[in-house]
Amino acid sequence: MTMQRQYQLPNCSLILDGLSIDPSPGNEDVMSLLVNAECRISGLERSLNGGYNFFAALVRAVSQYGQEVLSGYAHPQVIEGEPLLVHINPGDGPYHHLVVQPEIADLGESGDGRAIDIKLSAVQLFDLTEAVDQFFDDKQTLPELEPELSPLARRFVRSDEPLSDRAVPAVIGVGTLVAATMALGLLPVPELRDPNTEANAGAELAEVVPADDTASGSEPPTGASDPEGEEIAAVPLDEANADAEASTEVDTATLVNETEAVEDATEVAEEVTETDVDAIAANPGSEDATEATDSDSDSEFSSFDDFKEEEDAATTATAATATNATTFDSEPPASVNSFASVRTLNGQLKQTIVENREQPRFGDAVSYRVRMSEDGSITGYQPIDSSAEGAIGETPLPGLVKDGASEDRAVDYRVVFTERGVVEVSPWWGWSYYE
Amino acid sequence: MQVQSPPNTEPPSLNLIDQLSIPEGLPSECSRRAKTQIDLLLLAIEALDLGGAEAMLASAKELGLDEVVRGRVNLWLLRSSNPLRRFSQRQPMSLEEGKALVLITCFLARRLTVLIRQLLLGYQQLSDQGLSFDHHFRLSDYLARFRSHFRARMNANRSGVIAYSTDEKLNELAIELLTKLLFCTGTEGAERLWISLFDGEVA
Repeated sequence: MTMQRQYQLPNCSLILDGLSIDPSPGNEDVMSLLVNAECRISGLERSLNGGYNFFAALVRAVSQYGQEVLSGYAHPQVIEGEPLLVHINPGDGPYHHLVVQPEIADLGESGDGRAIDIKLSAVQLFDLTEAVDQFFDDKQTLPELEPELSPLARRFVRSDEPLSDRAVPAVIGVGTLVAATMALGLLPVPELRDPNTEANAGAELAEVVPADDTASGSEPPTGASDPEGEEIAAVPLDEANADAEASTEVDTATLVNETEAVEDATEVAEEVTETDVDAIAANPGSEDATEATDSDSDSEFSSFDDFKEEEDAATTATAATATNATTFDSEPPASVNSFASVRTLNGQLKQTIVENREQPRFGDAVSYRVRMSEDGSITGYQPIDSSAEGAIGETPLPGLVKDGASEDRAVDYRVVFTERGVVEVSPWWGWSYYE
Repeated sequence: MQVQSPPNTEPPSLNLIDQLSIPEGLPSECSRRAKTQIDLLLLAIEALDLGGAEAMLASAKELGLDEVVRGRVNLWLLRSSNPLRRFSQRQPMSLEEGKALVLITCFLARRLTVLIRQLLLGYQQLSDQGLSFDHHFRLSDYLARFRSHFRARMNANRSGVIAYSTDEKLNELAIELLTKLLFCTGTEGAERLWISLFDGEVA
């Protein structure tokens, strides 16, 4: 017995023509053999026609795609291993694409061998889905076709996001790391400065320094009559050592040699500069006083004692050198009395240094003792160790010294160029000295 | 040759909640995504129908679900289990409660079928012509209401909510939810929605 079933909705209708081949009672109305299935979609000139294979593929694809719309995860629209004859893809905006392969749908004469792509709006798609659902609900028609609604297995959801997409964050992360590494690689490697080799270099330099070097021993020190005046041109400790050594043997600047050199220099200096300097080394009383006033500085520089020992030695060595660094005695100069003016000068000195430097100096902290006269001019400076001496060129100090400035009343300051490029200025003898 | 029209949808029976199947391998409670989806769909219904919140309670009674959804506070607590909510309750939602909310959603969506279809057709026409949503009064009304509901109730600091920070993104979400609601109105709407909530949750 032939029969027809129709599932009609505003935008879509399914019309099934088929036969009942089971004559047993209760089953005579069941359509069990499909002859032709027709799918009409509003707005489409021709209808889709096909046999059982077409219809089974269509209802499966539609049913699965309905779940995809609801959950957002792509559902497999065919049973694994079977060809994809009918499938639906999401399209732009409100549209979806129903794609039917030509081999299973009967297109009449208009077929050109290409797959048919039908653009469905959301409402059309829903009507198609609803027609299919009504067919599934109708147990009298092709009961072997089931909707097979089931949640998507985890493995399908994972594959939903392609590997390339999932790899993007990792690739970006690794790429950033590589880029950063390369950028850092382009930066110059910081120069490693070894104080021993520095002293060595200084010694070699001193060897070729011409004879105007007052510490070479061939010429007596100019003392107070020197045109350079109070700003006694003195090489800080190491260079003085080297100079003194130059007359004997310039080979290495090992610690032993240094010590010897200090002694040498002291001897030389004692000979020539007694008038000029109060030889503190020979005056234990004043040294004690110095220590007493220096308690502030001690706390700031743990190695200050070392400095001071060297300083004392250097103080006596009033040997002049090519640079215009000054060697100070270890006593405070005749001081500006007012605490306020010490503080003003402190600020002024810092301001001067900051304004005159070309750029902040980075690297190991270096300290200088800088003497400033009452009228605010810098009369001299003294590096307090070899690394400070090596870094003189990186500070604005040499250019700031004013010749012939009055040193009647002056204040000594400790100037520290810290490793982060900050200039710190504080009174050499501590704030409490001026209170 | 005989012509038959499809059978009519049966009226909801008393044990409606048992009509939704529980497939194998389902977790013992609703997932984060399920809780979020249900709440967003109910939010869309509220944006479509001003009396939506009241209608939810009424339909719970009508469907015989007042054993599961016990009054206003309970409904609020259930909806607040959405992790995107400003006052998210972090409480589990049992499968029974999830089913009840799915049934309420589909029941209300079915009542709003005509409006949902109108709005989707309008959206389709506007996007065909490249016009803004302002040209369709009902549609822009729905979108504006959805946006304000969403912003008032969701926690703007959650990454899931930050993704919807612009009007355009929220409009897209509102249209997407409208399409989902349309699919809820179908013969198998409740079953489809229920099953779809567990996509990717089973082994």
